[in-house]
Amino acid sequence: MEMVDFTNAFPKLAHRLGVQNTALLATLMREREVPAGTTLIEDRTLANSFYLVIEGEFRVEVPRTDGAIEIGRIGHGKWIGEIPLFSDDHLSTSRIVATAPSRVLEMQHAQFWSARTENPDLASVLTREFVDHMSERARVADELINHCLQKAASVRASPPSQA
Amino acid sequence: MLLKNFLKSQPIFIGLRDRDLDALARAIEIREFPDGHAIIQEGRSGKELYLLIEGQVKVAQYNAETGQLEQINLIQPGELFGMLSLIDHLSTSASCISAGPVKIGVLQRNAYNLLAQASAPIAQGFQLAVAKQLASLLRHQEKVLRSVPRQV
Repeated sequence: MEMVDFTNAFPKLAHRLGVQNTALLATLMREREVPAGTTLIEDRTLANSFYLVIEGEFRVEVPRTDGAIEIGRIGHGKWIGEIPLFSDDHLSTSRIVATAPSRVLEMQHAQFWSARTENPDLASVLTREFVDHMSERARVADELINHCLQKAASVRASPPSQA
Repeated sequence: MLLKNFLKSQPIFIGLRDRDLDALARAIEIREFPDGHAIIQEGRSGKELYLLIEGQVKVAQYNAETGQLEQINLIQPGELFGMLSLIDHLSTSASCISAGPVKIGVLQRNAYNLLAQASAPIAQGFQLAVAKQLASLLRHQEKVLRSVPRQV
């Protein structure tokens, strides 16, 4: 498998990290191939790693009794699995499925927590990346919730006519 | 109770050292509001970050179909709110209204930006607190999405 050129693959992140921390992060993350259709993270399971997407695409879905509801797609340069990192129970909040042949960089939660004491600048940049990414996801979820509530109100206001 | 002691007792601020808690407490202004006060109004630009110290705050979104506000969350003491607009500079996505009298800590946008972008230990502890709060928000949103009526 060809080694990822971190600086070229993720120029914005590399810029935020600086040369030294970019090189350090590249050594901490392990590349992994994820075939299309593979569930990278199962809903409500213990998560020990987070991921940075090199290439491909992942569907984020929340399982329900009436079938899964899709809440977004994640592609190149985006993070996966950062929510359990900051949650006390470390449980995943959704199911993440590869929709195309994909490659990711994986880092263990424990490595992140070690970096907070050993390489605080690196951990700080990663935390800011996660904050940006989680805020994007929260916006999307807000819109989806609002959309569902409005549709539900619309249906309540005009119930289907009975023959 | 001293604000510093309150901060120290909250799980999201565990990453902050004692002197950082002192500095953060100095940067936070305490305000009190009566029941029903709109601390944040949906659709406005966010100027401050809020920490609920006492009471409860309803989070509600305007439903264009009904013309009513629909409650989607209830903020408890120790939780931060008003973050999204400060992070992405977009308008606020919901209103936050006091449910009874409340005491709130307010951090101005300038102070937030300093803490959010710096790499000093106090900034790192603060960034961790914001990350924890966002993770909690996403966990709540995904819980709502598991039960919200599906009419899409």
